[in-house]
Amino acid sequence: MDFEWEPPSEAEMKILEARRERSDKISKLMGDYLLKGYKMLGSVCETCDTILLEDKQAMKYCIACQELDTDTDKDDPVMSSSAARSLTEERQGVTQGSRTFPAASSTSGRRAVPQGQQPSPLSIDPRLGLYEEGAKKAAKPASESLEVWPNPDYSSALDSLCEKIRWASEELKASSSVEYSIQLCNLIKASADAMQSLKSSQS
Amino acid sequence: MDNNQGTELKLLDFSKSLQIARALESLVLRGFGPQGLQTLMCTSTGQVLVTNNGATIFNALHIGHPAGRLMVKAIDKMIQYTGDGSKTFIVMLSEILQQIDRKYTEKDRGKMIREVTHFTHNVFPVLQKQVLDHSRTSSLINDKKAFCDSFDGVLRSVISPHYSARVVENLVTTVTSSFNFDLPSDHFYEQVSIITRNLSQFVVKTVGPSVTDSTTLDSFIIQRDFALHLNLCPMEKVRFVILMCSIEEQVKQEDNESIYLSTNDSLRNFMLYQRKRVDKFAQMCVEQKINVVISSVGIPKYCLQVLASRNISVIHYLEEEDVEFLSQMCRKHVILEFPRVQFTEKEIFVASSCQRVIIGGKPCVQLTPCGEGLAPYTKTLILAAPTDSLCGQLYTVIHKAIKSVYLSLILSEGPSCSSATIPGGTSFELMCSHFLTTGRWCKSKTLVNEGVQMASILAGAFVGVARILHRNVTETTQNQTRDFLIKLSRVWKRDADMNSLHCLGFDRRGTLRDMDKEGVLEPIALKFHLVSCLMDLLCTLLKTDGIIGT
Repeated sequence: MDFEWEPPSEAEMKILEARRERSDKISKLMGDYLLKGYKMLGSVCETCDTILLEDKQAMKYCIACQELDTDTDKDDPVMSSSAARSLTEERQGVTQGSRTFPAASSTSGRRAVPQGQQPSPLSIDPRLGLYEEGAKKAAKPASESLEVWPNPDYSSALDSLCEKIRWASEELKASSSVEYSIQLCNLIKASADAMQSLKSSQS
Repeated sequence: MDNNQGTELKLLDFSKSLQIARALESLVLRGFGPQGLQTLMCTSTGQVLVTNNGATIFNALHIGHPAGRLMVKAIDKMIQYTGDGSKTFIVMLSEILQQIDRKYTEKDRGKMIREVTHFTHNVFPVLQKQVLDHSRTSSLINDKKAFCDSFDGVLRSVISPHYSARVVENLVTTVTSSFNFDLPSDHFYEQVSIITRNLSQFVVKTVGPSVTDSTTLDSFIIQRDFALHLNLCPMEKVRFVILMCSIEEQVKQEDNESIYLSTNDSLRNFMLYQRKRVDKFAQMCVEQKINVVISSVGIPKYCLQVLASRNISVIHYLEEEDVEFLSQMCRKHVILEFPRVQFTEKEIFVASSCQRVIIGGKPCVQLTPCGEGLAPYTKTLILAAPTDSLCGQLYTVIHKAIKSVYLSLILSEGPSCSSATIPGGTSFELMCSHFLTTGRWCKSKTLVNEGVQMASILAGAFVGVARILHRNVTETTQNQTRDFLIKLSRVWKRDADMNSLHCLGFDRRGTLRDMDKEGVLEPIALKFHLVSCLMDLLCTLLKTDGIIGT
């Protein structure tokens, strides 16, 4: 009913704009691949509903899943432990630098750190603490494992994956952000796929 | 990655169509306008292609998606008629779909279809009338100089995206010189029509040092690099016949006649009979003063010797298209069967000269048909380029330009041939966008609300075309969008002040100018046909909500 229609909120507008930008990026990449000789198929990807391409070896290719999302995944601390570690190190470097650097005087016009107060690391970004925790957990050797595997490397990898899934599940319960929740779900799915691959390769 | 294949129906929503249109648009965006860049791509055969011709790029792609193929096919069909406009088409389609995707949902399909239909039947004719009232029309008889300027302007606007300014002027002069402007109106129109439909017969492609080496040559050129048996000295007052049958009798396969030729006697009798036929043919030629025989089939050596002994020159293995073209041009008949007593008058062609020439290192025959009832044509265009593929591209561009020129001509009662053009540089698009935005078409309409949304969408699409041209011709600056909007407001303000639609467009540097004075013109019929095809395709896409494809 028209009377029930409400204009989209600012957040919804931002989401729509982000989706359009993503669609434009996909179209641009699709054009580049068409020039390289890829074929545009009439089918769509089951995951993201993007039009599929096919290369000359008849391998199907989804631009969104295999390029756009992986591009962001490698830098996303939630999905990548190395990104989480580097972010944590960066944050630690910032906090150490802020502790050694003297507070700026108020006459210089710069923003001065109030005396007696130290910049709290967590105030910079509340998620950084979570990333640090995730990075620590990813680096922590597994204390227990679900199954006894003859290969210690596989056992260690499996434990890490289990820990990751557990942590992501806890984060998912607490999260109220749509985008963050989607990233956590992707992390859980990727971890489950990795576990499945490990089991199948071991068997 | 798993996905559904086979005969399962899949949804075609606005976003899918938009994604395909945007993908196709991204390929030709930078090639749009006089400063357009080229696209380098590989074809399926591994050949490297360098072009900015939209239709060439789209046809070289592998598109399996039904909606994508529909778009490319629509562009192809349009190009067959207009020759040009593929990039403008896809840009406008992309802009329209983008606006539809932003403003409407899938539930509004029916409403959009009604809008498109209403626009096509009610609003578009008003727009056409308005544009025609402000277009440039010049008659061949009454205002020959303006007519020739229009002719040049249309050629210039089509050729300029592909070559530099100096080369463009050279090509425009060369192509214009291949037309005879002194003919009566109806003959001139027929001349352009014949040349447009049979350009391959009027063009000789040759490898040369530069495109500026292109020139014209009198008469019709028969391109042969073998199978010429001509007297070395040029001939005048040539009478010739064209054969599409063999002089010799052919052995009938179905009767197994070859079996009966197995004995020496039967074979000897058969050969004697063949010789008699050739002698009879040669005698007929001598009696009726035929000095050249042109044949689409091969003539055996001993026949050539017999004919040479009677001073009859032969050109054989001619392509059937050339034969049919000569027949059509001279309005004479070719010989389809033999023997006979003599040639009829309708079968004897007349030429004022026939000589051997060398073009691009290949021996050719320069033949100048003459006589009553000859179709109006004048010269052959010799197109030169450094390589074969560049020659091919030059031919495509010239063909596009001549098609556009043909579209700009109108043959009215009288007969009178005129040229209807509109200034280039997106003057048409700016004019239409202003007309549709201000709603001037509403004054003569019954219902104000109908067609408003489609008019607004199309106005946005027209502005989009102008914006892309402006972006391609101006230097990249941070304030490019702002610069464009300022210029757009100037155009619209000027239109409002003058209470008319005056034609300002963007030149090669992005400056607003009266493109009529700059000599850059486009045929109005091309623009109207483009919008019409666009509306048809849009209607088809809106009516399609599901596809079945691999």
